Amino acid sequence: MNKLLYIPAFLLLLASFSCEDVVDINANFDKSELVVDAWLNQLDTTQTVFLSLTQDYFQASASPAVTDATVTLLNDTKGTQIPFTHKGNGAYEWTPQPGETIGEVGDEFTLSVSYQDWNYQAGSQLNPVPPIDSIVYEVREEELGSPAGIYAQFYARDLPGEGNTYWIKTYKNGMFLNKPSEMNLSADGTFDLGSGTDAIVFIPPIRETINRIADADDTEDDDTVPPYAIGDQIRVEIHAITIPAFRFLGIAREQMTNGSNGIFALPVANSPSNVIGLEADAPKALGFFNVAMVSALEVVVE
Amino acid sequence: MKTILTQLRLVLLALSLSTLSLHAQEKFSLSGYISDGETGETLIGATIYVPSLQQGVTSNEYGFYSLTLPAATYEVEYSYVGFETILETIDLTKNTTLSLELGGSAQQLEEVVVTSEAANRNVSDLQMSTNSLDMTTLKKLPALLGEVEVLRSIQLLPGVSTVGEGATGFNVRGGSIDQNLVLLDEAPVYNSAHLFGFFSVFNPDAVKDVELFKGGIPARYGGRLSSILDVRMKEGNSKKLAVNGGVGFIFSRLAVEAPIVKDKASFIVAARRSYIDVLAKPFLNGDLGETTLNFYDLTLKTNYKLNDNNQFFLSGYFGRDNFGFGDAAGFNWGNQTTSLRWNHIFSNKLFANTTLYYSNYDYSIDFGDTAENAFDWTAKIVNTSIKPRFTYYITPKNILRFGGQAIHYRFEPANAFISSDGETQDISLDERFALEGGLYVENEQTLGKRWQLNYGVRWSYFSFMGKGNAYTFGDALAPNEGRPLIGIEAFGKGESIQDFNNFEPRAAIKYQLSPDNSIKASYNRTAQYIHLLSNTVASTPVDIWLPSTNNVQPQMADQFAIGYFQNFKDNTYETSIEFYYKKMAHQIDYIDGADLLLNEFVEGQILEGDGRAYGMEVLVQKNKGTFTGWISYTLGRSERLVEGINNDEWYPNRFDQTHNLSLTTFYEFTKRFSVSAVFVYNTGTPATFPTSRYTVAGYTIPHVTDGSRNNVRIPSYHRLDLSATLEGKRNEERRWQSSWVFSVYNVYNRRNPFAIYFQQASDRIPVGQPATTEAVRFSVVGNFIPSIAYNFKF
Repeated sequence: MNKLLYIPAFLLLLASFSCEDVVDINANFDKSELVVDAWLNQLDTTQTVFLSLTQDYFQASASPAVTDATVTLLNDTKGTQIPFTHKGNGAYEWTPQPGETIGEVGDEFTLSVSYQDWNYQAGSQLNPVPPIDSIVYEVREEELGSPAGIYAQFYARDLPGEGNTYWIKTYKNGMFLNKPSEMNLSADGTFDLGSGTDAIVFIPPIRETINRIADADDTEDDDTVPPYAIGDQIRVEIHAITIPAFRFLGIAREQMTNGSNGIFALPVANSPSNVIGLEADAPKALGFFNVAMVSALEVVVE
Repeated sequence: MKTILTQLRLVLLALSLSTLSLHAQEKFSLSGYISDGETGETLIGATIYVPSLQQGVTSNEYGFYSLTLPAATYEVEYSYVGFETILETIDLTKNTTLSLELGGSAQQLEEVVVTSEAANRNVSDLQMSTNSLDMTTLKKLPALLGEVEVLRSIQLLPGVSTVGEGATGFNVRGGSIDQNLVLLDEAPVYNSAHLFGFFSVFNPDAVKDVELFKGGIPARYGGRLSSILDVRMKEGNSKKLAVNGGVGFIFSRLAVEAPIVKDKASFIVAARRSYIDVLAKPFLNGDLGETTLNFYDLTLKTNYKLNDNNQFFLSGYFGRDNFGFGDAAGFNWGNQTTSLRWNHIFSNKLFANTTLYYSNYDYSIDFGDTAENAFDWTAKIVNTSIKPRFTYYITPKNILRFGGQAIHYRFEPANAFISSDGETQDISLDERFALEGGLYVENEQTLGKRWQLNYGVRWSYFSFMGKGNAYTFGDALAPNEGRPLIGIEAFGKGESIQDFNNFEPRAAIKYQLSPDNSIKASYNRTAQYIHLLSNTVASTPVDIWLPSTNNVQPQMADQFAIGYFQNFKDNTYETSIEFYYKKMAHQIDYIDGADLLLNEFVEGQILEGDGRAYGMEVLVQKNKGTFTGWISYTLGRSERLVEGINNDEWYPNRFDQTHNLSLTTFYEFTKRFSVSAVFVYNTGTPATFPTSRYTVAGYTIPHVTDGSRNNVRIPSYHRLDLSATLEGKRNEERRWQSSWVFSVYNVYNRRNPFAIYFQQASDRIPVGQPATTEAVRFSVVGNFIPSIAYNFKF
C-alpha cells in the first residue's frame, strides 16, 4: 500500500518552495556484472532471454551484450529441454513450433546460463492468470490537472486464494507503455501482498494505470493531451508472475520512481535477483527469470 | 581506582550520616509556591536560597518549593531571572508556608534571553545534557514564514538535528524520531507536526516552558530511548484578562487568558488556523479549486486552586491537518490530548502530583467519489494513563522522588474497506492492546559543598496482551527477506501474550570545582516498548506505531555522558562541553521493499539490529547585554548494524551528521527595535548512490554493486535567516501593544539538498532504446522566503 503515500496535495504545497536541479555526480562504477533478463510466457511468440552487462549509471548507451553464453531452459515438470540460441546482440531466442508451448499451469522451470567459467541457474513456476473481461473507455472532463479526453480502464478479477501477483502491461498502438511510473503491478487485485483482499475486481488505481502517464516537463508526453484518441488500439496483458518476480519489479519501480516521493523517499535497495551462481565463488549475477501465463485483450477506441 | 573507591566509601558514609542526622536536631520546613506577580503564572526553577547556610532549592515544575532547616531565624533570597530578588526574614520555629509573587509590573526588569534559569544554574545544577528554552527567546528567533516554532528552535541546540527541512520530528544524540517522548502537559503527543514537518503542534502563545532531556535522564521519566521533550503550558493569567494574537502568511492565532476567580482559578484558550487553501484558491483552476489544505489547533487549560494544599489543572489539545480534493480524495490527521493534574501537598515536605491523561493520534484516508469504487482507511493509537509522582524534601541536601505510571494502549492500525466495482472487502487489521507500567525511586543528594548526586532506578513493565492473535514466523530464506508466517495463536481479552520487564538504573554526579565551574557525569539505561514503523526518509503521518510483541523486542539504550561547565564574567558567558556515548539494542529496520502499511503480518518484515551513537557537544552562550546569543556545535556519529543490510557491517543512519553548527544572535538597538540572525551548518546526511545500471524487462534499473547502504554523503547544508522586530510605541495609557516581525529565511538563497535522486530523464524512450539517467538534487526550500507577521497583545 506504499503507493497511497503519493499524496498530490503535499506535492502541490511543496511545489511552491521546492526545486529540483540535475547535478553532476560520479557513479564510482568499478565492475561489470552479468545481467539475465528472462521474462518468458506461454504465448506462441518467440521467447527471448537477453544477456548483458551492467554499466556506469550515467552511461546513456545500450547495455553491453553478452554474446558468448549458453542458455538452456528445462521444464522440470515435463522433463523437456528447450534450446535457446544466440541471434545476435545478446538475444537468445526460442520460437515454438505450431502447437508447441513452453508448458502448462503449475509447471516448474529451470533456466541455466553458462558464461565464461561460471554456471548460473534460476527457477520459476507457471502460475495461472485470470482473463481480462473488458477494456472500457470514456470521455472525461478535466480533473485534478488531467486534461479532458478519452481514458480507459480494464476489468479483470483476481484469482481466488491469497498471494496472486500480476504484472499488467499496456500497449498503445503496439507501443509498450514503458515509463517506470507506468509499471503496473498488482497483488491480489490491490497494490501489495498482505492487504488481505482476495478475488476482488482489480481496484481502480490498477484498472486505470493503462493510461499513459504524462509529465509536465516532458517533451514527448504533453500533459495537455489525453491518453487516448479515437482510432487508438489498446492492448492489455496480464502476466501472472511469481511472488519473487513481483518483489523484484516492485523494488525496481520504487527505485526508479523514488524521486517523485520527495521527502518520503524509500531507502535505496537492489532488486533481489533469482539468478544464482552454482560455483561458490561465481560472481553475482543480476536480473530475473520468470515464466508467466499471459491473458490479453485488445480494443480499438471508436 | 583506589581513590574512587575511597570516595565511594565516603559517599556511602555520608549517606548514612545524613539519614541519621535527620533526628539529631529539631527541624522545620519552609514551603510554598513561587509565581509571577503580574500574570500569576507559577515560576519553574526559581531559586530559594539561604546565604548563611549556603543552601537552597529551586521551585519544581509546578512552582512548589520546600526547604527543611534547623530551627532558627534565616534570611531567605527568592530569585528568578528577570525579576528583582526578594529577601525575606523567616523565623523558622514551626513549619511555615510562604507563597510569594515575584516581580509585578513595576518591579519587572528587562527580560533576559536564552534561559529562564538562575544565573549559574547550568554550572551548579546537577542535571546535565538538558536544555531549556523560554518563550521570550523563542519569539525573537527568525522563523520560517514568520511563525515562532518550538520544534524548529530546539534544533538550534547541541545534540539535536533533523534529517532535513520539512521532516517531522527531530533526532537527539543520534536517536531516531520515535525515541523522543514529546509531552504536552504530561500527555504524550504522537505526531508533533503540522503540514508534515514545517510547523509543530505547540502554540507558542500557550507554551510556558520547554525542557529537553538528552541524557542523564532521571528515573522519573521513562518510555523512550533518547530524549524527553517536556512542554508545559501556561496556566492562564490569574490577575487580569490578557489577549495575544498574530497574523502571518500561513496562519493567524489568538490566545485569551483570564482569571475565573481571581488568584484561585484561571484559564487560557489559544487557537490557530492556517489559510493556505483560502489564499491559494484564486490561483487554482477548475477542479483544483476544491482543494482543501489547512490545519488548526486549539489549546485549552484551566486550573482551580481548591485551597493551599490542593490545586487542579485541566489541559487539552485538539489539532488536525486536512488535505482534500473535493470528493475524490481526503486525508487528515490529528492529535488530541487531555490531562488532568492534581497537585496535593501532604505536608510542607511532601509534594505530590497525580496526572491522568488521555492521548489519541488518528488519521484517515479516503479515495473515490462513488460507493462502487472507494477506499477508506482510519487508524489510531489511543492511550490512557495514570501517573502519580511524589517529591519528599527531606532536607535541602536530600530530595527523594518516587512514583509510578500505568499506561493502557489501544492500537488500531487499520479500519479499512476497499470497494471495487461495487464489491466491498473489509481489510481491517486486528486491534492490539498493551499495558505499560513503571515504578521509580530516585534520590538527589548534596554531599558537602562540592558533590551532588542523583541516583535511582526505574522498573518498567510491558505486557502485549489480548484480545488478539500472536503470530509466529519462520526463518527468512535470505537475511533481507520477509519471514514467513508459520503459526497463529488466539488470546482472550486481557490475556498476556508476551511480557517484558527491565530495570533501568539512572545516575548522575556533579563535582563543583568552584562557583563558576563544575564537572558532571551521568549514566542512564532506557527501555522503549512501542515503535514507530517508518522506512521513508522523513516520517509520514500514516506511519504506524507497533507495540513490542512476541516478535519485536523492546528497544534498549545505555548512555554515558560527561561534561565540563564553566561560566565567565559573572555568568555573562555560559559554556559547556559534553561527551556522550550511547549503545542501543533492538533497533528497528526493514527488509528491502517492506510493506508496512495495511499488513497484518508486518512483524515478518522487520529486522532488528544494534545501534551506537557518540559525540561531543559544545555550547557557548552570552546571556547579558544588548548583544546576546549562543553558539552550538555537535560532532557526532550515529550508526547501525543490522543483519542483511550493508553486508552485515555498521552503516551510518540516514540522519547522521558529522558536524552540526548553529549560531544564534540577538542585537537590541533600542527598546523598540531589535534584530536576530541564525546561521546553521551541517554535514550532508548519508545517502545511497547507485554505481551502475542495467536493463531488465525494458526498464533501466539502478544498482549498487557492493550492496552498501548510505555509502555517500549529500552536500552540506547551510542557511542564514534574519529577522527584525519593531515594537509599537509604548504608551502607558494604552494596554494595546503590538509588534511587527520581518524575517527572511534562507537569505542567500541556497538550494540546500534534502536528497539526491537518481532517475531516468522523464522523456518517454522508444522501446529498445537506451534511457538517459540522471542525478537530481531535491531542495525542499529552493529560494529565500521573506515574511511579515503582526503580533499584538492587550
